[in-house]
Amino acid sequence: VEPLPAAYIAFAVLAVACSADIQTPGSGPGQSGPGDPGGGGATDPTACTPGVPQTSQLPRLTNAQYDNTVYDLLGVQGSSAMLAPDTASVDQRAWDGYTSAARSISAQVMQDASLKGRFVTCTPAGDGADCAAQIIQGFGQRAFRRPLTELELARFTKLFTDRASITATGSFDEAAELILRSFLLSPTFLLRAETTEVPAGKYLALSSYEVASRLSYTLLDSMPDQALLDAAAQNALATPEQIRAQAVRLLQEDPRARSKVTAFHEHYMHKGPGTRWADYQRDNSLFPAFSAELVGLLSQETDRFFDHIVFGEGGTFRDLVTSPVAFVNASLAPLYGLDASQYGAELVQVALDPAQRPGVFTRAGFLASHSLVNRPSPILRGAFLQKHVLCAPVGSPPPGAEGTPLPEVSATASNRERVDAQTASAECATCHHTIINPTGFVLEGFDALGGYQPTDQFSGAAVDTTASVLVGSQTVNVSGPAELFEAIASSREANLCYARSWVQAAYARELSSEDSCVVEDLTAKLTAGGYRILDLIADLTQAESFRVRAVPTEVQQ
Amino acid sequence: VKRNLNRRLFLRGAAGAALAAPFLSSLGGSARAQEAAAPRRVVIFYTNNGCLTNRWFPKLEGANGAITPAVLEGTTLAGLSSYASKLLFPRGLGMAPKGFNVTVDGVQYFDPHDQGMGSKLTCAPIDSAGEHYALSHSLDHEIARLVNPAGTTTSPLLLSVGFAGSDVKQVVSYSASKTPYPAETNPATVYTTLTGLFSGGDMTEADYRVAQGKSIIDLVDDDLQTFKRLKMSGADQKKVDDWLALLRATEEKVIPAACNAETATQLGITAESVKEAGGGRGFGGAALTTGGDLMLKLIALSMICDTNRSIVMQWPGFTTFDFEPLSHTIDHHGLSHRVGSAAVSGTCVSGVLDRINEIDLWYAGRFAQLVGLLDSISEGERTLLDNTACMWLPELADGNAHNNNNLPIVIAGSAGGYLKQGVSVNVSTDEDLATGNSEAACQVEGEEVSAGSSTGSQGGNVPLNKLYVTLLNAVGAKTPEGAPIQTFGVSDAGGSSGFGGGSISFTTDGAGKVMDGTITDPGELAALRANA
Repeated sequence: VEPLPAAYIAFAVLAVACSADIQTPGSGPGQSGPGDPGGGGATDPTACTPGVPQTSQLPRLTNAQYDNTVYDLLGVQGSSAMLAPDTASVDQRAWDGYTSAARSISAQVMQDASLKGRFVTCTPAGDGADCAAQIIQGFGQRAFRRPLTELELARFTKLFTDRASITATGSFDEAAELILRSFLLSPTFLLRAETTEVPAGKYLALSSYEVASRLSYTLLDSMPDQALLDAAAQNALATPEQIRAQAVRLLQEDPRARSKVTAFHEHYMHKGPGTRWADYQRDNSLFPAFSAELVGLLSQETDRFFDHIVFGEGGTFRDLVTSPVAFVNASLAPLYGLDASQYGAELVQVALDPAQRPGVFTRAGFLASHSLVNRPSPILRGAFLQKHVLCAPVGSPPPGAEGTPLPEVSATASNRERVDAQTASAECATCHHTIINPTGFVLEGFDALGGYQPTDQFSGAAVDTTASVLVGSQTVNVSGPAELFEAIASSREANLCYARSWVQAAYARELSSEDSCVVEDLTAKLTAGGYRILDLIADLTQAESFRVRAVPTEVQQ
Repeated sequence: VKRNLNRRLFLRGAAGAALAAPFLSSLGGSARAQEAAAPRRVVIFYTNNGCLTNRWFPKLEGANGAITPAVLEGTTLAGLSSYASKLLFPRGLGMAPKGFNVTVDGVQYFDPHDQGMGSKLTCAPIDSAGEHYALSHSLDHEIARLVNPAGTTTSPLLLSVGFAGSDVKQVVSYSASKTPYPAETNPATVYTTLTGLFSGGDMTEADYRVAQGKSIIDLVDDDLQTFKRLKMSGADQKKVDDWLALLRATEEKVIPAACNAETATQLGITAESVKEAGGGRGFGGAALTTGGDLMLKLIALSMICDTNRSIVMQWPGFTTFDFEPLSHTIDHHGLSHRVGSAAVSGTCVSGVLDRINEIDLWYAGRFAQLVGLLDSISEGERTLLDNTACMWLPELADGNAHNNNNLPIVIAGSAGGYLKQGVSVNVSTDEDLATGNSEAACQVEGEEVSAGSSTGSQGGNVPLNKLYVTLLNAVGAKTPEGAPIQTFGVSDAGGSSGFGGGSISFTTDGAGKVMDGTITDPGELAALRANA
């Protein structure tokens, strides 16, 4: 799953904004409009069809998973910097990256005494064959996430027995390095292959080792820990209850689960490297306090918020969009009207006015990244909430829209009035005046850096945050952020959008109509209220598709 | 222009005669053969966000005439004066398909950067849905498939610095429809691939390397064969087959004798310099300066080792030139819009034209560095540059207008004598082809400007496909029947003026194949051929 397009383009953001396409989303069978969250396909992938979807048996480790797995196996960090960006297949560029990384990692491990012990777990005696066999079996089981077959043991053992002819000195260490390099290049290491062919009704049952990998990569983005491998060895990952117990254990105990949840929310918010959160400037005459460091700090503030709601409070989706909690330090305090002298460099938890600052979309991180250099952008803010929080089908703008200047209207016209005038032409107004702009106007009380602004920067008059906002299929009249986010928290659309994001992230593939049953189930629980995000994550592992796979069709022979 | 080498490097002569070079101790090493004729190559130097076109083009009436230091003087390319006699300016070319109004499967999607990136090397429309990827493979892949020597890869060598993702805005290369091929940003990966080929003075070490590589490939092959025996979907089966094919392709390689550690050291490529350049990640100045410098050298070394005849240096699109000697505070894209941000209208940033010019000059300096480096290395009777078409290709013409007509393109080197040299050739029928209007806005402090306004230019819409066909033929590509190439890309529909163009529609088979693309004007640009 890719981050949002690089922040360097305004067109793409505007492209969210005005379109006549919205009237006719999907102009033909099998065609989906740009705003369709589900993508193509002849059937509607958002309608629930019970069953287990056809999926690849050979999903490859994402670069993030490769990084985490290599770290957990060997203690080497950041290896994926050598890899090609995530793409669908292993092409030359990807293979070169794997080759380069494997060479570098294996050399580093064997040269660094503090790392070597994680791979060479025994002291070679005699010709070292016993120790080599121990490494191949022990390390191999962790690298392959299952015990090696006899054939596989023989292949790796051959590297050791051939060492005199394929390494310069024929030493144990040279052979060990070659064995490690080979493990890191093995397709079984790089793919999370599901190959067991044991019938289970009309499906094929996953082995306990395969379930262990699914659990671990879904919840941790990394390899199974020893407890999971032990459970797999005892075939104790067969029932939904057994799987749930392991999921709960990992969510409670494993710090990697927290990283995964942070990564999910980074994706949900479309933040991260190359996005509009990563790099922006402000007009220094208007915002003298702005600095490049603030950009990073606002991103951290947001990460801390999500981590706190999910793990600190055991919170719900409603809490994400309504909680008054914030994390501030001396640099951020003034943005929230707090006294900087009371804070140090560390981010600490505070409670803000829930009427003024409900939830993550009234935090400076979101507000500043969805602003322009010298003024807040109701278009960016409104389009994000509609498109990514409510999953509203918003199409692309008509040709030439990008060139529309912001008219002054009059010397005393507010930002709101100017933006409405900017988008007043018939083809823009279709989306802007009904969907995008009103949503963004509710946040006009926050300036281009996310600080509270009671008056408009152009007109000098009090800001107008009242609007009729389309929340799903309902138009809701709100007077400000508190009412807007209350409506969003209660809406089926926002809960559905959040649940769908989680299912998409957890399964890491295009969702099918079968997956939509899981989405619907989770949405119902979320919308009912009181359903912790941690419960939602654990429930992701309870779908039938977590235990069995569909029999592949279109088999080539 | 600063020469990067203290003395010339010599490659194995075209006719097999080894030209003396004291450090080439291992000529004729075991299992190493030589080419009968010097390889011919295409190197594409790709930059983003357009340029000040009116300062970039040579000063020539009607875009025709001899290229001399005099016509380059005062232009962005003045630094290339020493190579004036080896430059070719193909004038009057426009991207195809071009225009804001391209419709695919009934949906009109527009984003000039997505289109500039996606269509530039593919001559195909971009998907109106999904990730907006291009709907065909790109020129660099076509060249790699048709002209890379047996035993090497069928993919191009695609390099960048900083961050290279698979977002449409970061991808210029496609291996197939909707299949992005992101750039390599880590110099160490290129370096280790090349050192794996070095013969060096110590042959045994190299032999061990080869033996280990073979052992690993055998093991990977065995592992994949296990999967192949399973009942899998067609898509999974293809994954395995593609991977197996990749392994086979790299098994047999013919390595030129000059491909060794000493040559690398001569070029300034050592384990230390690779380490110093780091992972090549990040947007900082070091990624572009130290990293970019090393990548250009690695291009030369890859050419010496003949590991690829289709090479692209794709500079990153989002860069702030905040490093010596520049001290910009606004990123290149924001400057190209003249307003200091990605916004599409606003007030001109103070001194913005000077800032853009500084960036144009910086890239011109890197291009001159590459050209100089390639020209400093002998290959048979000629230089590496002479046997290459080294082309500077931009994402856009003017960065504010986002136009893709009248493209500023320069080719250094003749690809082994195929292309004309020292001349600008207007291939269009626009007799008064101008150099553009990039300075039409922002001359006055505080002026208002908006994208797509007056800073573009008129004319110059001969489809790029024809230049690409010329390049394919220049490097010896042939059709399966052994005939010269006649077409490249999905469509050569252009539209008549500026970026606006005419409305063009396509339909696909639903799986990414365009069903109704047409090439109305096949063939190459004879006017660019040396013997025409």
